[in-house]
Amino acid sequence: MKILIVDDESINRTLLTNMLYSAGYKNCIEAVNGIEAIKLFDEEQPDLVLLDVVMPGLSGFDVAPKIRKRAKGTYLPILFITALEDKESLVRCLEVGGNDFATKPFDRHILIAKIRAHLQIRALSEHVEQQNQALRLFNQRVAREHAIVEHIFSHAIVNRPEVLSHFDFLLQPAETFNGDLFLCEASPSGGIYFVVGDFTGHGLASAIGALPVTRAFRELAQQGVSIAEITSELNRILITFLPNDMFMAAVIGEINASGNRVHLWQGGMPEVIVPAKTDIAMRKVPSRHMALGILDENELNTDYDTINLGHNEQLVICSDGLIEIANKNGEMLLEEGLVNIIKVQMQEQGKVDAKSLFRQAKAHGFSSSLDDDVTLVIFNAKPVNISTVRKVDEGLPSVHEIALSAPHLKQPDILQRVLQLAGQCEGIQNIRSIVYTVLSELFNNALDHGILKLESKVKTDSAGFHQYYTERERSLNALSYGRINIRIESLPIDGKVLLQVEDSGEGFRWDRGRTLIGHGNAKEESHGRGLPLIHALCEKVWFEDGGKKVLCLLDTQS
Amino acid sequence: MEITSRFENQGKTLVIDVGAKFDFSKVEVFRNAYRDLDSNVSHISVDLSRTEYMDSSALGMLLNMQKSLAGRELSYSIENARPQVAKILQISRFDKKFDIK
Repeated sequence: MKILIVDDESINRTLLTNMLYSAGYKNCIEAVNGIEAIKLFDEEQPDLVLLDVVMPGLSGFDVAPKIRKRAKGTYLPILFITALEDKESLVRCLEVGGNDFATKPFDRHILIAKIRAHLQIRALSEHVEQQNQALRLFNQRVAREHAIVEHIFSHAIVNRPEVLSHFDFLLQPAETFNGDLFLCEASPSGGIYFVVGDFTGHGLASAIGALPVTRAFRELAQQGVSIAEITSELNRILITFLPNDMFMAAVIGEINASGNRVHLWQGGMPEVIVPAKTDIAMRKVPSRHMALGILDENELNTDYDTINLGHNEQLVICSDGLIEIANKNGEMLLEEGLVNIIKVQMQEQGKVDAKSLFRQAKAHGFSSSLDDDVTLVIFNAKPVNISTVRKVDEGLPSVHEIALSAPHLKQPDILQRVLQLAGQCEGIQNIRSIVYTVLSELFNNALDHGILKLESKVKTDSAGFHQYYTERERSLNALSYGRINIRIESLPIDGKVLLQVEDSGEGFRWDRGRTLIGHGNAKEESHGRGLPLIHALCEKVWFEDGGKKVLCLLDTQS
Repeated sequence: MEITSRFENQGKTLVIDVGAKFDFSKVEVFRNAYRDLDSNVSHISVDLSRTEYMDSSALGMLLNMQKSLAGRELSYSIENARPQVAKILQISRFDKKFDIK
């Protein structure tokens, strides 16, 4: 600790220096007048100043405020040493910026105790200053990181305006980051898929889960899968990504192209409401399931509700942040409160809108800020009008070729893997299920008849049907050689898909028999349905290489 | 996702939920779903709401179910098929053997 002693009399300076030295303060510097004091203060940055009041030139009263001004952030104790004893002078000491005073002749114990006390305050002040500095840096870093994450979120979670325009919605995060989520995407069949999600908690920690969910939702929506599949896939992702105590309540929906039927899977969300002017006419659909990210795959129930909407009817979906707005007695709005607001608005205006619903719900509340993220999404029943032309134009033409040998053919999930690959082709969303069916037929024909040489005739009666599959399994296990080549060519610009399956078997006379089975009485049979089905589903079917190779052309727009 | 079955209507209706994929890989489980059927049951409903695609072996399995239970007084329905799956059923004229809802 460095102490600056300012006194014009050398005897006083020496006395003080010695006194301090023996008390352990060995780093003392001395100034003989005010000018020198200020100069030394700047150069040496002492921790404490002992200042004589009466000096020629600048007095202590003049020096104190000057030094005070030059001291940076940390508390700088200035102690006056004075022979003056009148109250007025002592009060002045403190008024001009001194922190304390000691009267001459000074008592050694009292002076040292005062110095010690003030130095302790200075140490504390220094500590606080360091912490403030660290906090400032930390805040700057967090602000920068938030800005980066915000940038990522704002680019990752974007709904296409032409899809979004079908909804009246409102998103009010309680903090910068929203733990609620609203996603919508056009479905290949001309309708809309959407998700309204609410992660546990709010802020950045809960918003982070939105990224994998958004990505998966977009992909699944573009493939045109059922909402049962979207539900189970999102659940799988959340189980994988989120810690155990975090999950996402959600409403997952699919609106048909006519905009009058909605499939809804609801887990852990407030009830979905179809507004009406009376309680009796008002429809309420409560959540049937737990939130996503809790149950594992075989426990999850993907059953969903179907809601039919009349002309001009609306569907109101909200997160719990809206109905949990509380008044000053802590009473929340709840579902009943929201239903009442909706009813009044229906009676007054004949329809509801997100903005005024939110305004009235908020009027119930006590504080002007929100405790939780609020999301409110309203769909007005009307035909969905989203052009899919853009997608078709941009669909990439592609060819997938898969060459399977015996070890591959023995794998139980081989067909699933082939189908999965086919499903990724662009431009086939409209007929994905059909492509699966045709590929599955072609593959099974090639394997069962081309390679394993099984006879469908066995399947004529019930026992034979199972005998067939037992035999199939046995032959497959014994298979040592066999090859199936599959080629999937997607031509999105022409709106076609060409499927080709070739096997290493002996081929067959397609012109005789098999293409014709299935007409007439074959309806009653358990077999012979495959080829007629393919013919019905495809624009064109033909065989090459003596029946070893079959080609099917499908129209993706039909 | 596997096939699941449940009883409704005081045990009179057996509902078989086929799951996402209905093809030959389901032969065993599908048959197990209606084996040892309780004599109470008068209706079997096959629920295709979760079914993404089906192939001709699935059609065979459906007909085979009717054949193995031919001695019994039972009605059958296929329910909630999605458009592309319904198309397969329609092409195969399954409406003649099943009540398609």
